[in-house]
Amino acid sequence: MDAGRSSRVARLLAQLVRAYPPAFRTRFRSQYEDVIQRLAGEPRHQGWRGRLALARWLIADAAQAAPAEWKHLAQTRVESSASFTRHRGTGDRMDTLWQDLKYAARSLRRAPGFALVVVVSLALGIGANTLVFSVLDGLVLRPFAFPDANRLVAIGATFPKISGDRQYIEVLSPPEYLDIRQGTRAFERFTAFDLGNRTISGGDRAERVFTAFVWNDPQVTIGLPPALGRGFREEETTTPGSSVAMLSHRIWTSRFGGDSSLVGRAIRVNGVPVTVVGIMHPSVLLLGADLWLPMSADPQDIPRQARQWAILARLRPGVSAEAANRELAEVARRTEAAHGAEHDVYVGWRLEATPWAEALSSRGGIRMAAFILQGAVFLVLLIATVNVAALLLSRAATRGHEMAMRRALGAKTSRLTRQLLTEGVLLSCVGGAAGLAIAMGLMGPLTRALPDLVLSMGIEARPNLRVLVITLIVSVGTGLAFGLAPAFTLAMRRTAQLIGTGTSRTTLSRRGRRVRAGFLVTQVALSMVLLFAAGLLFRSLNELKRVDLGFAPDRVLTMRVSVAREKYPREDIIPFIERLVDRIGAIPDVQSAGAATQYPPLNVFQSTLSLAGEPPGSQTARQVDVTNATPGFLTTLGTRLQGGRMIDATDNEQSPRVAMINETGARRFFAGRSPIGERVFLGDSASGAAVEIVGVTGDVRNRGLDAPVAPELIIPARQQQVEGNNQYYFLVRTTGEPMLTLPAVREAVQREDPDQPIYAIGTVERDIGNSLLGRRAAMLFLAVFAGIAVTLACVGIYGLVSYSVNERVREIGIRMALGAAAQDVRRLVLRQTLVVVVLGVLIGLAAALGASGALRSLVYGISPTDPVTLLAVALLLPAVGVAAGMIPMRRATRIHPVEALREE
Amino acid sequence: MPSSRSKAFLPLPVAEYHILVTLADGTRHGYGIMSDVEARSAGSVRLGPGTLYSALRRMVERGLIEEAAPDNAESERRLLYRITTLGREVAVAEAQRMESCVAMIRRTPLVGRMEPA
Repeated sequence: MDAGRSSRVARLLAQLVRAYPPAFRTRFRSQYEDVIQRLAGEPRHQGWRGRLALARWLIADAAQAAPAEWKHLAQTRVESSASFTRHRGTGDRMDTLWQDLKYAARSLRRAPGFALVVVVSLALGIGANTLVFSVLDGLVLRPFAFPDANRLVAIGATFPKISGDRQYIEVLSPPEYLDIRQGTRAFERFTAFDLGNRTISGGDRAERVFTAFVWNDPQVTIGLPPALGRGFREEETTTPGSSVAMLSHRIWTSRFGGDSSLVGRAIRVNGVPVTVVGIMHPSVLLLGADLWLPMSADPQDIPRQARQWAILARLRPGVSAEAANRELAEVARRTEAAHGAEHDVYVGWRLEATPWAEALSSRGGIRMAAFILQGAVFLVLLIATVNVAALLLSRAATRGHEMAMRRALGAKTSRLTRQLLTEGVLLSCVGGAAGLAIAMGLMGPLTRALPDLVLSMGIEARPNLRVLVITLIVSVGTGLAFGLAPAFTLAMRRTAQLIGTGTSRTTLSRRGRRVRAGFLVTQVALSMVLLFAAGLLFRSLNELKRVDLGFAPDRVLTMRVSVAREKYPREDIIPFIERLVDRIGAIPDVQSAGAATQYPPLNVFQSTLSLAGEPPGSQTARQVDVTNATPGFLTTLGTRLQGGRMIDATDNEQSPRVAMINETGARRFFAGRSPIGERVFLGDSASGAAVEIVGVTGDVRNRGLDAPVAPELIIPARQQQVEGNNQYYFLVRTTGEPMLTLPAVREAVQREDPDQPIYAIGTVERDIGNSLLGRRAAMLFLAVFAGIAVTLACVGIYGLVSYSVNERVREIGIRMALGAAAQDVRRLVLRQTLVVVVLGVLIGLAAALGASGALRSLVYGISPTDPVTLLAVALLLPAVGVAAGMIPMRRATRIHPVEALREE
Repeated sequence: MPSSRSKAFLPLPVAEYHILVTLADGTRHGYGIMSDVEARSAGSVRLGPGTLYSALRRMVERGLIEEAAPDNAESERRLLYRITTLGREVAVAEAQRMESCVAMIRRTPLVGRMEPA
């Protein structure tokens, strides 16, 4: 054991040889390693103290000897290069670069305004780009740092009979998992898991944790070893009675303080002792599950319609996704042929493999929003570079005289070109560095602002090497491209021409001016696109806030309760929940309370419904949301009764089975007639008893604020479909601020059962806010970017106008001397600004209309080409542009004729 | 008497002196030199591998020692080092230089109480 450890230490310490120059390394590496190996074997260097002492001594030794070796190397280099330059006489390359840099820095210091505008433009553009790219990279491009992540896929299923959407999580049943395993050869390994919640105790408190139940150790599939201990053995996951568990790295550190002796010890899961056999690798956080339990069942023993598993699989090396999908299509076809008669959901079902990262990040529209953001940021970068280009160009023009002089004095064109390039690159590197600093600074706050949903998937956003490299390329590229343009003009002209232009002071050629105006038109157009996008999202959010929810969302506390099955037999679960509801309802600040399996704005449980007289589970079956609720639920939510009666306490296990239906369901299933008294059957098995509809409730938004209401049945909890369902959401309507009643609610629950945890505490208002989070974030980003873009465009307009005012000081002076009023001069300048802005707005309009398609998924309640937004933006930009031009214009009207003429 | 060519090497860095003294006894490889130096100095001088090979490189370049291939197979990892004639001269010259330093100190009244070793 110790010998192995000391050889490991020796290998590690031998890495110190890397501190030395390459020549030294090649010559002494093996001897150096040999010595360290022998040192590590000495008796005095055993035990951790000895090893520590050895390491300390060796590091000190390297710290002393390595610099000496490098110095030696440098000396030999200098000697040889000195002789080289003596012979060749071209040793001043570095000197020239240094000189260029110094000169560039000096000339930029003399034009601080110019330098500042360029650096700020680039910093904003590059900073925003880096920031968003880092997030995008973390969320969308490479969210999981798993080995060979492109071979890791999620198997998605589409059931046209159910919803028609491809889903990955809680979508497949164990027999289907077996079908896929046996029917494909493209995959080398599968892991199937089901998600749920368990209470872990041991230590100071009971805690509800997100739990995954697995077949086949996911770590092997992912390709990362456990941080500690071992993973699950195959037989542990398939045979009943194995009481082992794994913990996520994060809960191991946060709850158990990273205690390595935990492995091998028992913790209690829902009161039952379970041995912790391993701690997961820190990067493995499948959908945020903190506790891992083996399925402990044979997949064969679970019914085909229990579709609550997800499948993670690893493609064999060299097998394409297409090949895998062909096999999966064949599996789906065979399953449909074999079981389609019995289970009609298989009609037309599809199986497809999607890269794991893509499958997960497609949830919640994150992917789409991120790409829209990237587009927006790219526009900002474009505007920034355009700004810089325009500035560099006009600066080159104003320096025509200087360049001409220097050339006349014997400077070579190549030398002057290099000077201009150095300036451009220097500026853009400073801008790039500032941008990177901005991005790094904002990364933390931005990541914290991301929805919990995203973070719980184990996705991280952080600046990385790729981002750094891209930033570097962008900044140096900008510098080169726009430093080169003026250099090019320089090379094309003869000295006399340059001196000639120089005599009439700083005049941009007609072509140069047109180029610059062209840049500005582009900027205005791009700003217009961004402003329009931000405006659309802003209006969509407003529309969404005005949506009639069908219930009153304010002052409702929500929480989740999972009843421990080990403690309460299935017939006691609902009575226990009702007792909790009663106790909570009795709290003075509580108006009413109720519990249900789901609540608006987002339902998840569905079933199929068939009308009396139709064969259950047949082709005519209809999709319907099924909510089990206690009598107080609908009252607490504040839904309106539209006909018939509410479910109440008399609807229990013994009484006839009843349900309420929402208006959408009533309309869709019973076109025209009253549904009251109608009988329906739920599910696709013929065994289900008939359910009588006794009441109609008003519609509530049950599929998010932006989706049409789905048909929904409300069934009394005591008559719930899935017997023994033990998870209920509690809704508590309060008279005051809902969170303030939380202590009283907790106390009420504790009085009923001290061991019963409540979790996922929130409010309905917060849920609604969360459902808008992605949209709101996208809007906020777009608004910020649009702000940056407009600012940059204004800087550009200001620059252009003040530049042309300067240029025409003499002309304006003469005009005013000849009796032109300030108003005439104003008109002159105004016309120039307006031409640019209006042209930009027109082009921007066309571009915005073209780009609006990309926003379609985020726009709600208005057309993606909303004329109101378009008009507002089209009016705003010229106003801002003219205001920016106004500042230098005021100066123009105050020009004194005499001074203007004297300036020459 | 030390030759004039050896004078150019004086004063010798401590590590190089100890290496020369050790090698004067016979050829050794790197680890051998380290442990021998430590043993001779009763643990007061410990050469780290970096210091050691840096010194060996310098000394080979200056002709004080030379590399010698061992007769067994482990030639790469256990290269032997051997002292040259110049090395011997320099070691002696350094010892004499130090001796005269010590003698000078003994003559100084303030430190005269030092006992001869």
